[in-house]
Amino acid sequence: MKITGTVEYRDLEGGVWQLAADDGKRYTLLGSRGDLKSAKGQRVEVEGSLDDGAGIGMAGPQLRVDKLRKL
Amino acid sequence: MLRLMPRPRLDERITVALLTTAAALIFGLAGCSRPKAQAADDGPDVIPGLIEVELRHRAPLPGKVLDEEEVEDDVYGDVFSHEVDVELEVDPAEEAATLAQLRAREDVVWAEPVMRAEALWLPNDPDFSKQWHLKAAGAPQAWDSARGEGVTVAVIDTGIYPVDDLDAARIVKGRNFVKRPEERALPATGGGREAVASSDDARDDHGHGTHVAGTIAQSTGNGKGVAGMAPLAKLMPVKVLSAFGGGNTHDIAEGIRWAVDHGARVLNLSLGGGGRSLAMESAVAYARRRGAVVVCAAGNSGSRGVSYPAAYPGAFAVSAVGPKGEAAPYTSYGPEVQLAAPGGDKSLGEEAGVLQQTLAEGNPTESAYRWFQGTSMASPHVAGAAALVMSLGVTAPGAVERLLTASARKPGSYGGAEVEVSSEKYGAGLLDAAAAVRTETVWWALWRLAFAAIGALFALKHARALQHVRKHEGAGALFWAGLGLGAGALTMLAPLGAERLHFLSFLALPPAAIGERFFGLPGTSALATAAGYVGWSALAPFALALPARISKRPVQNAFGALVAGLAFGWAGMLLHAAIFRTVALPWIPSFLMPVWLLAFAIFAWVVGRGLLAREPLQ
Repeated sequence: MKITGTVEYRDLEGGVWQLAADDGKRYTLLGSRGDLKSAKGQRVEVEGSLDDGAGIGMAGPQLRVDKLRKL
Repeated sequence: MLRLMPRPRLDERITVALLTTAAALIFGLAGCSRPKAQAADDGPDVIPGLIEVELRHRAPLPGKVLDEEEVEDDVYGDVFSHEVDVELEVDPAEEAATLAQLRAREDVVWAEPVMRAEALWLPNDPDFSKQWHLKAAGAPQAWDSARGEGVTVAVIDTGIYPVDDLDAARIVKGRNFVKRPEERALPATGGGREAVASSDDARDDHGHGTHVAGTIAQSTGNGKGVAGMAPLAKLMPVKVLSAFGGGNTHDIAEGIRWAVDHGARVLNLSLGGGGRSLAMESAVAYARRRGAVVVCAAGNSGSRGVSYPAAYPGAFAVSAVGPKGEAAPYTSYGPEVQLAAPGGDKSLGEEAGVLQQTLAEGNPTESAYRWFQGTSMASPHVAGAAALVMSLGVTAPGAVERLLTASARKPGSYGGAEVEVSSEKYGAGLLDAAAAVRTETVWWALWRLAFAAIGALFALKHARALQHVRKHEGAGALFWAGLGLGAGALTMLAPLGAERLHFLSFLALPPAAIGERFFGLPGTSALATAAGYVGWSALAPFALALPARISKRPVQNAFGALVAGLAFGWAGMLLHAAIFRTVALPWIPSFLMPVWLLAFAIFAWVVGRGLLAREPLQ
């Protein structure tokens, strides 16, 4: 699935990356920290899959990032 | 029936009165603030270069006077005869000589080096003072009696990296359940990512798990960095979350089962999300059934709705509060929340977070002390407190949870304003490890003592009614000493005695739990199990009663009297454990545990009664 939105950093649990999606939802992103950091505050298109597992974020559904494209 | 029995003899009544007074005194001492420590001229708590002098009247003194105050007469408290209390600054090199000189003077009542104010064991970790959260959770006072000895806490998380402020000797063997090599960021020896994630390598490659582990058992008193809740507990790294901070429910469920099967008695799950997973739910139920406390973070949604696994039955859900004891803005809440604990609130500033050592940006080559916030930080405070409670001989997870919730403080009591109490946000209230430990060491010991004394008095009365106890064979001091020992009444001394002499920490345990503490090392779990069975049955007093019974005139015989007392004390201890349901033993279903304990309490009582009730001597 492809979702567009803005990459946001939340100071939770030592740092959680989230995607404020255009559809109003908020996803916790699972992906390489370096890639996410470089996209902080930017509009991106994320290609990935919804992850029904658990993680450290505990704030909204998790989106596993396969590809991150800056818009 | 009772009326037919003779009234207790006078000396017996005096003994009971003395015993009660002694118990009340011990309780009083343990309950109130600790007496001032003996004035030692050196030691870790002495502040070099400072002397306090009590003078009969103002007089010139060597050194620089920092503070001077008229006080009441020290000895008589006479408001009309004042003395002068002076704080002096002297050259640290000449402090001993100055002290001797002052003490020799006629007008000096006493002189002593100034010591750090609290008699508590205050760790020398330099940044301990910044850890408001440990103090708020009541850790420093709890450390006087318990430091988590013999309890293994599994950190089911991103792993634990053996950073320098964690004692590597206390990290037990763990396991890695994360299989995707692309989500494994630990460099292999060559510097690249490991081709295959090893299942034995549970080192952290994110930072989260290492921070959580630090809250539970950071090296404390090592003169470095910061402290942790249960400094002597063992840490078991169970890696179920990848370098990205996520993981799947299958791996987490597997991790839970593995940890319990390998000796973890407290599980910390600072993770959550996803939907309800039957695999995870049944793993949590399994862990609890096998005697583990499963502490989980409530979630960081900032709204109503506790995340899984915290919301599963059998999990102990923890919400987060900030430094003022008020619910943190990010914490999830709901009816499943059992307890609130410090998780930090960085909206009040960076230092309002939870400070532990972790990995800088997940980079294993660089450690850093960082303030984190989240319900993940609240959960390990509770897990550490559970380890403290368990190290005092409680093995049933239900009893640990009841102790923690029953001793919880009212929300808003960390010095903040009173807040509206919402059980959905705070559960039973704010974690107070000190209160939980105090309940175990003082109140429970009193209960055991009371049960034991009532049982003993009844047996004595009965034996005397049957004229089985000859007049000069009454219960003596040794009998009552044995009873106190068997009932675990020495635990009441723990907050006093163990504070500086931590090797006396076994005083904090009821005798039945001593074996477990010392055999509870990894690899010797069969021994620990055996010790548990021996302790929580009447085998020990029974084994001692046999030789005592064979010897002549057992009650008069010192050994017999001691063993008879021990048996009644043991009966009191077992009865307490049956009523308060504090004990779980492997292979015995929890609903049968009270029956087992009650049966052995009666047996222990019969053993004591048997020692008293021998045939009258011809």
